[in-house]
Amino acid sequence: MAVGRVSPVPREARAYQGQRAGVVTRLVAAVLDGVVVVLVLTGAYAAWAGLLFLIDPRGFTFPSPGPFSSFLAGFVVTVAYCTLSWWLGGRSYGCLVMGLRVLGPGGRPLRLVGALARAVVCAAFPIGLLWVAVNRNNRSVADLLLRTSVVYDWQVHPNS
Amino acid sequence: MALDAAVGVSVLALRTGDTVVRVARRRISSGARHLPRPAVPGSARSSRMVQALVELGADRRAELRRTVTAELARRLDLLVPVVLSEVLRRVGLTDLVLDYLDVDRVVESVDLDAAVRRVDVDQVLRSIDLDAAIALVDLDRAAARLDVDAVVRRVDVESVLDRIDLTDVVLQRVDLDALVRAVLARIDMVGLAEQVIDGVDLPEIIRESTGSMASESVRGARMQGIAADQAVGRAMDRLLLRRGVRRGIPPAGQVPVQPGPEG
Repeated sequence: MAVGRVSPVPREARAYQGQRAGVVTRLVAAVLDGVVVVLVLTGAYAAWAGLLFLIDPRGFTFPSPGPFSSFLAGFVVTVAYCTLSWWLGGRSYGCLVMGLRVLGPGGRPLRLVGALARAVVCAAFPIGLLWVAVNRNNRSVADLLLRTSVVYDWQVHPNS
Repeated sequence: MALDAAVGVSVLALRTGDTVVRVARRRISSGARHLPRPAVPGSARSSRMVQALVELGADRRAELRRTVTAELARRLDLLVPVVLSEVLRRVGLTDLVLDYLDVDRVVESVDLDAAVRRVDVDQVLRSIDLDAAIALVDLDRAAARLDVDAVVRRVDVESVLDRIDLTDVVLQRVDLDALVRAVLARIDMVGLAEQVIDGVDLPEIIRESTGSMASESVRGARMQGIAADQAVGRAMDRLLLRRGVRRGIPPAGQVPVQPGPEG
């Protein structure tokens, strides 16, 4: 006797589950992830400033990191955030909101190395996401390089 | 009467002769000579004598008839079976009946209905050993010649069913527990439940009853995102002069698939 399960996905969205997502949905998810990264950087900056204030209240001034330091910090946070989220749950916060899932080659979940490599490519060349609109298979530059996919998956899995 | 009288006269003559001989023998032996004198007139004596002769003759004739009848019956008992057997053997009774007897006419003249009415069928049936009769019948052979389909076609099944309380029969004779178990064993209960849930769209009901504005907003944003993806994809295909459907974006109404695209 086959044991199935009841899909919590709305009926009108079931036809799209498992298919590669388009550029609009992925852009929205990327923007949300960018907001998360900005929030993390802001929090880190506030924590750093607060730590400096506690150390020297009289000579306290807000730290003003240079462009390279800011860019590097943003790059590192983005890579770390994306790597951990894709590796551990298969989706970042933006993907969670938009109902997306990042899969590795063959539709398998991403491993740590694969998630790290994809995060580096996406952070270093974010405009490669727009290639989804051009590519016939809805694949970005990172997807083409690393044979990954981003699919619609509204269902919440226990390990995500 | 004259015959009886003649017989009586003959008998009387014989008896008189016998008496005369015996009396003469006694007279001669004793030497006495006493003769009886008549006590009544002559005409009366003659009438009584005739009457006595008639009675004597009738009795004797009846006795002779009985004797002759008995003797004749005894001789006929011995003679008739032998004669009849020899006659029938020579005549051929069966052929004789068939040649000279119109059996159809005889049968037509018989009131068979009245004869049947006089038959005690119950008594006849009681006298028949049905078990022995059935044992003599080759039922398998008889059943092989029976057109069961024709018999069944003539049966009024509806009438039979009307006379039967099927509910009571089922309750009395059917093991309902075993029946229910067998039915349940054949039913994919999980699949059935899924069909029912899918038919009533239970997830939708749950979402509507417990969902928040946020989940509704997320759902709307996701659907709008999908719609925008399709629109952009079609626009890019037209812009790039590509035909066909984008792989990865199914047309509306396609059967849903599980996650797991090719790499």
